[in-house]
Amino acid sequence: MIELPEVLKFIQQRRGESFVFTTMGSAREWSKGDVQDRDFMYIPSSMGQLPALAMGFAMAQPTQRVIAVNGDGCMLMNLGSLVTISAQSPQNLVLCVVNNGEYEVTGHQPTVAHSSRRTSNSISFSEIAKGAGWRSSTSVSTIAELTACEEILFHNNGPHFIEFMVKPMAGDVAPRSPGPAPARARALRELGLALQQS
Amino acid sequence: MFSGPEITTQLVGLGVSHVVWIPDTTLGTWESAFTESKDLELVQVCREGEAWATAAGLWLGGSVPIVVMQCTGFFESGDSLRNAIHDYQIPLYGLIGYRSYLNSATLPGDTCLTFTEPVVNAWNIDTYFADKLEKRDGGQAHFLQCRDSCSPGLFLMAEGKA
Repeated sequence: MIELPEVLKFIQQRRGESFVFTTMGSAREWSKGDVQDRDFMYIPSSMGQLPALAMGFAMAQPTQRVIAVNGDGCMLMNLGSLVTISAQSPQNLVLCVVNNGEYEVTGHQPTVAHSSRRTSNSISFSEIAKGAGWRSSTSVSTIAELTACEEILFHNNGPHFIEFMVKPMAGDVAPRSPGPAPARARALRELGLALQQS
Repeated sequence: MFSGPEITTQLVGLGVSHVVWIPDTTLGTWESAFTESKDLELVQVCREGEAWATAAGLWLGGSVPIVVMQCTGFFESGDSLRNAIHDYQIPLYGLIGYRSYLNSATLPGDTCLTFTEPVVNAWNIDTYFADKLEKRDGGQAHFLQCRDSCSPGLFLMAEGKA
């Protein structure tokens, strides 16, 4: 397993002009780094809806790279979105799931996909994405594997699905809103309109 | 209430770019007109909550989406709607099919007749109710009014055989 901050730092250092959508734990950690105008920290959220939100944005901005960093608990709430996205197949979208096996922000309860909740093996989100028809899907659990993902994350035509096996963060890890939600939405819309007109 | 070509012409005339939907037996008859239109992109989702989030993403990216679903899906999708429309104040517009409304005499047991209007009202969104054929074209003015005021809106469309 790797650390969530390592995954996010890797993306932040190489994202270039990519739009990056984060939520819950990924948004909390993302806000500790270099935040740009092209970041959308989806807090407050409707848990489970980040993939759909990012897909819509990617469809509206087909020439822009869009990277969404979802949690495993969030992904479980909307597995159907994997099928929706593969049907639309936006080539500019990368969906990452950071899988720590638990609902971290509510007090570290294991999800139903975690091995402790099951009589069989834990669930593989990357295998689910393969079955849902994604162009590519992979699982990453080491730094070497993370480094090998650079082309997929930032360059190759997608949509791509990457499951990052990460360690849970310790302690009280509730996310904080990065500011008034309506103002952040309007700012992103204005940027989106400007890009459409350019 | 509308044929596929009629609703497609109206949506294109209003500047809608994407229809994000799940069909029901009434709305589903519009599919071929939507897919044949060169001016509309049809985005079908798996569950209605996805529809509001997808539309929100489209709007954030600069597009003009409309959400189309039956009232039963509207019931299911409340949290996603709440987040997009009330937390982020994204001015999404939805066309909601009101199941059984025009069959209320022959299908009195459909609880959609009990819950649709209270649930729609609970979300505190400006709603235009086309409860009969003569009121259907008022939806265009309502859409434009919502667009011009950057406000969310709903077009509640009676469904049934009457």
